[in-house]
Amino acid sequence: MANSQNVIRLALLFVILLTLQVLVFNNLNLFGFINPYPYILLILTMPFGVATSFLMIVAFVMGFSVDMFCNTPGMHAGACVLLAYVRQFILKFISLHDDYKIGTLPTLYTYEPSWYMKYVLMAVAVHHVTLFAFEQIDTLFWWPTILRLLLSGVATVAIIYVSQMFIRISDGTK
Amino acid sequence: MRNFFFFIARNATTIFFILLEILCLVLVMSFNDYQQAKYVSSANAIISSVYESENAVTDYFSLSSRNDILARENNALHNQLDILHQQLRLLRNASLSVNDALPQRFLHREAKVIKSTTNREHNYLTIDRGSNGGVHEGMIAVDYNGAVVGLVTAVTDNFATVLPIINTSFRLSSKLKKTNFRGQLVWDAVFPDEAELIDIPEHAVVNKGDSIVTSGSSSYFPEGLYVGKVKDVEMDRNGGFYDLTVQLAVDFTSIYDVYIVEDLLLKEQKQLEEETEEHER
Repeated sequence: MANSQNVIRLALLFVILLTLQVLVFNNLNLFGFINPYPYILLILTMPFGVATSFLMIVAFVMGFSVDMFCNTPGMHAGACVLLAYVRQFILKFISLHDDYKIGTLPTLYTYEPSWYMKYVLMAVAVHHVTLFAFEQIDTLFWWPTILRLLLSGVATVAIIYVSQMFIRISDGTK
Repeated sequence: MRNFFFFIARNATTIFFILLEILCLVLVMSFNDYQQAKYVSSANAIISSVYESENAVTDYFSLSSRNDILARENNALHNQLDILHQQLRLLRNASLSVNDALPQRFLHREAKVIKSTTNREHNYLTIDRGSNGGVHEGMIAVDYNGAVVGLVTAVTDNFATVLPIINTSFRLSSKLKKTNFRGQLVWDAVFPDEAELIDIPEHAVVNKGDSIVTSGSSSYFPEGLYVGKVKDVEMDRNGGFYDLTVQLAVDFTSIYDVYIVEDLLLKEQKQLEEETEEHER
């Protein structure tokens, strides 16, 4: 029962986040050059203790789908897979308590907001730096690129954080 | 051998991770190759139809500014028409045969831009006209002023992908309109309204505001299409050549309509050139 619920939630989140990313956020072009990528929320909200291999498959499919719409084959997929692999280490690094409760979701309401902020910041840093390294390797260390990277990162963190304040992604335990 | 299997079993996740990343890298590499730009995905049917239905909604927001553009273009065409009418009358009076006129060389087809990016190294435009609408690879795209937008690189039945000036894979042989000095127009992936013109020799006289047009030495772009203006004049670090900053004529951040230009006499010209070369041998 809980399992089929999880699958439905994953599928719904996948479709919603992909649609929003492709039709809204990719067209935002804040100040002409900032492009936030809040679709990585899909990877962030997978339950604690999820198998990393499974997480990487989900991340690959999500990243590849975004790639298809952005004409950037492999770039989002690569950044997402890395984030999926690194997620376990991030969680270990910022853990406040002895252990995470397996099966619950890491959201704004799981622990203190500062814990969630740290989590999102580190995840977005990993994803965005990798993505920009793939996308603009020739000009990566040039100030326009670095500025774009930083501002896009800030926008992504803000959108993920604010979206969590309005919409609670339920895991059925509360 | 047994240890090897143990090693694999213990590190299965990490090995899977490395394999996935290698797959992604292969995808990225194959894409970066200029030749492979053909496989760009947004010209494929499903994704294009998503963008087309999105466009059906967002189209309305830009209607008023596009109306202004069209009105201006209409006005310019009216003026041109008047001039041509007058010239025609003069020609008739001089009893020259109108049939001596040259045949039509370029055919324009309008197309809507349903998807475009400006904030990547490899930017693309997707247009809503494909091989069913007479668009083929190697045709060029211009905007309402006749300024260069880019080159058609991939075509499906109903859509096509345009490789614009603002893609680091793009090279355009251009020249200074006044002095005819030739150089290469390249984009350095910084601003969507600026490109660099390199290889102009230092003995050329260059001023800010000079017009830059296509040189005609590329097999795709005819000579004299407007590209932009010189914005900044600098010397190349190694010396000997200019490194000019060009203000592009096309505003890629708000591009809604393009014209796809077909060269009706291209085949004839190519044939003649080939025959000439064979004679030379």
